[in-house]
Amino acid sequence: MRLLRFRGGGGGDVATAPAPIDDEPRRPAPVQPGKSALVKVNFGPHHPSTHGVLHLFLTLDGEIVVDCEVVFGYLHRAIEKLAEQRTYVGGQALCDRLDYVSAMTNNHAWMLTVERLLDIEPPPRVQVVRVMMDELSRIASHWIGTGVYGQDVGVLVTSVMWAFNWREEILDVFDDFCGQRMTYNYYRPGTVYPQRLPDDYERKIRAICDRTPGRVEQMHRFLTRNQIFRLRAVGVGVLSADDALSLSCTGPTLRGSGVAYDVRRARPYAIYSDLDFDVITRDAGDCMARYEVRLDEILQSRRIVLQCLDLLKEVSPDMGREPKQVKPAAGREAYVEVEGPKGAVGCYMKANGTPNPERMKWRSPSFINLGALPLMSRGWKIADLISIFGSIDINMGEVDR
Amino acid sequence: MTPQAVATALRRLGMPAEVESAPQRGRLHRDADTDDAGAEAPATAPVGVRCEVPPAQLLTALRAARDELGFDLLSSITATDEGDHFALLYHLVRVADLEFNGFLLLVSRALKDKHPDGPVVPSAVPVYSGANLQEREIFDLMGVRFRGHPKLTRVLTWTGFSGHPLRKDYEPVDEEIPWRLAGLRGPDGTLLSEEDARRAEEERDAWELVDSDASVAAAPHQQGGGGEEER
Amino acid sequence: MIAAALPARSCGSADFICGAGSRLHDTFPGGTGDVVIAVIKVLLVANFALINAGVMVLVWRRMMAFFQDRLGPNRVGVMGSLQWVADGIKLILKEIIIPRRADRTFFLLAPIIVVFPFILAYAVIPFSPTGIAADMSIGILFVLAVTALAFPGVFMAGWSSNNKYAMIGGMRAVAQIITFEVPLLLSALGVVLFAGSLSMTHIVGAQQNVWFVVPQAIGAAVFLMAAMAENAAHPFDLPEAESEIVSGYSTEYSGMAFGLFYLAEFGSTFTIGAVFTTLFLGGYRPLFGITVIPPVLWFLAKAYLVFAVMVWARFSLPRFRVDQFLSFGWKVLMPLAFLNLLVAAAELAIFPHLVA
Repeated sequence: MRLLRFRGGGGGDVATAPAPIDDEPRRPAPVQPGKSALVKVNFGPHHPSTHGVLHLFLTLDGEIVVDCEVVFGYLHRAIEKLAEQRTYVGGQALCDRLDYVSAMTNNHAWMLTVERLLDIEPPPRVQVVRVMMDELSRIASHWIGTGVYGQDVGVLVTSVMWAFNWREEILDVFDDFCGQRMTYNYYRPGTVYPQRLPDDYERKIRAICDRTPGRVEQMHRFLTRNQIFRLRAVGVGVLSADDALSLSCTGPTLRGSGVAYDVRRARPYAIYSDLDFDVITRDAGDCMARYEVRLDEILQSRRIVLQCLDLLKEVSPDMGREPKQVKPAAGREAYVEVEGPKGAVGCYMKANGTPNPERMKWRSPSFINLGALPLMSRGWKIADLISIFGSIDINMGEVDR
Repeated sequence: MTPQAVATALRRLGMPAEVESAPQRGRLHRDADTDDAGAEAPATAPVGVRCEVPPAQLLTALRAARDELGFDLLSSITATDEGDHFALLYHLVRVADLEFNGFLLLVSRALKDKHPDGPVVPSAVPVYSGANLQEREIFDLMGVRFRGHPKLTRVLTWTGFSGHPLRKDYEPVDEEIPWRLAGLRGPDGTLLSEEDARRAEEERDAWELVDSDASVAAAPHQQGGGGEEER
Repeated sequence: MIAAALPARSCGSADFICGAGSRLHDTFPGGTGDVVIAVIKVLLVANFALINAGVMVLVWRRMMAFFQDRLGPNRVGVMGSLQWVADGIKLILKEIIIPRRADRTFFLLAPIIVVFPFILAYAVIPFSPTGIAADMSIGILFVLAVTALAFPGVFMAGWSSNNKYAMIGGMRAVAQIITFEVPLLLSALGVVLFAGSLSMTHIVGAQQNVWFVVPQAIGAAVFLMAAMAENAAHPFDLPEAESEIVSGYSTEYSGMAFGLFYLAEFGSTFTIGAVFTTLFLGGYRPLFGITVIPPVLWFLAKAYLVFAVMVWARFSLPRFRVDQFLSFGWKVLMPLAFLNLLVAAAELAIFPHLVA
């Protein structure tokens, strides 16, 4: 443990010049830790801004973050161990609790892995439904990420209220499809359950798609073009593309740094190779870039959902059948990655001939993206640390598993 | 780069690599008729390369993958408990290459027998800094230690936790442990001071171990009691 | 406050308060009458300040809810009008938890020091032509001096809490208040130039021809922003930035001690509204000469309008970072305030009939 060192002197020597009010990229202050007392502050785990129970152990020089140590595990529920005692289908309920704001993509990762182990593939209609659910889930998660980022930057929950309100319609749709608003357990090997789609799903989903561009524009008017927000987000917490790749970041964190890597294009699953959508990137690598990537991805997801709605009319009505027994042969293993809203969600499973997996491992994007936080936040102020942390869009359920 | 090219390059470096194939997936416009008529097996296509790498050559392999073969993203490190050894799976991705739509999977097996606490394997952090948190998690949950890791401490379980939960031979502890017994050390490195140990024993004796299954009557309870007296 | 509230004996208008005052003079002859009137005025002002703060809480929360696509308090009382009573009772009944190693005296003293300045300021605000508790000839100076008294309380709260977050909040508050004191005074000085007097009644009286917000638009804007920064109102609310340092200097407070901070926040928001109305919006003067509505209501309407603008700003804008808005205060507001002084002087020279 490092001790508190007091080396006399002026104290509170803020080693940075105040920034002018314009959009020039800002550089973090040069860190001079010998000049004044270093204060160690515990940020969290109880904190309005840590998106769950996350503990940041900060070393501060006045207001400047000299070092940031990330401590988590407060929400560790041993899901990987529990999965070994559940069946392949029953254990899917566990994966819902990981990234709980967008559980459909978790379901998809799990179920794709099971299907690879069993060597089966669902019929096209099921694939379309799955993609539609995934993309709606992505929109819902990005609303939360954006709204809560507004709160981190100081908007006093206005953007949070809007975002959660807009998300409610998507949750209503999920409620109609599978009876649940948050933990869906919707997919099955080769099909979905319940197999019958709700009667008026098209009207509801089209209504959501109609309203989404207006809402994205509202968020742009509220935050993106706001000078105070730009002061807080532009040029703050820059992550270079090399650093992002080296740190294994994926998702908007990586795409905001200019690397066009999207699992839906790199290793297409379901029907993504037949769908028309853009991979959104920004070059700046700062908080504004990541935030804008999310807002643009909402529009791309809406595009995909509209295509899926049309495809559902053309594709054959076969909804597949669940296999009676899910007991993959011993020695089979599969690792599948799916593009979740926060990054690449991966599920690895190893079979041993019994109905329970031998090993289940979850690659959670928030866990790995969080490793980039100390590098991104060194030299910035406390307020910037919160801004940077909010822009990575972390879900603690996923980090701790 | 095609998977075959990657496999060839790896073999040239002395590592046994094989190309993995999988059935062609996810084509949308399949008719229901074709499905009924005996389901012609979908064509297999090469996806990904698998390579067994002994732990001693792990760093070389990773460096070669990153520098010569251009695998710039270490997507995931997985550890599985195979009984007599741990298997570490490194999934690597070439980000800019849409032709190679799979993973380069490096499998490294670390034998358990020589190291009762956990085998030591070189850390991937010098090559990919994103391996930092993942290796800490593997150390925490499986007990595999990584040489060269900047700070190998537990990340998901709490300070003072002992044991590696994801191992197959892990015995979960069900009783309520007073925090003093959870392995926290005093300033001189001792686990507990005498007074603390005495106090902890009193606390522990105030609770009796009760079997959770009420149908099993006296025997386990007495066994537990006998164990206490023996001590 | 009682001494300052002793009124002059003469009152010419048919003002109700003044009429009541003269009847009191008849009941209590001699100096006692003055003291009684003074005490009544003090009670009226203090109670008004505190009850108004409660009413403002309701308006604030309903407005906030409207911005956020939701309803706001609507259960307690008609349309939630008694919500503040319920909140007040709840806060009084809660325990004031004092951290073990906190400095107890200063911990408990801090909320009191933060609360009483804004009540003092109400003494010199002209609610109507004779409805002013203490008509001092240095009215505006008194207001500005007294509102600056709150900051030792904020700093005391931050320091005595034995909490790093609170300390950070307290330090930010001090830096902020020092920075924005200067533009605040300079922009008020422009108004004083126009009115030729520091007395609040004279300032309102000088706005007979045109409200000062018209010739002194820059000054008005600077004053509003500086006043918001002085009182740590959003978007300048860094001392209590919720998403960074939990509650800043008031992190460790609970129960009525926290309630006092809360009260002070709303009360001083109204003070800003009232002072701004007096200086720039013509005080109790009616718009378009509609004298049917009594001056008091005009004053309250204008003050609440300013309050509404501040609430609007609060829930639409993100928060500044410390160094960004301190540099804003020194590098933007202060030069603007100086510019405003020059403009005011020029206007007075060119258009002397602007001022009565």
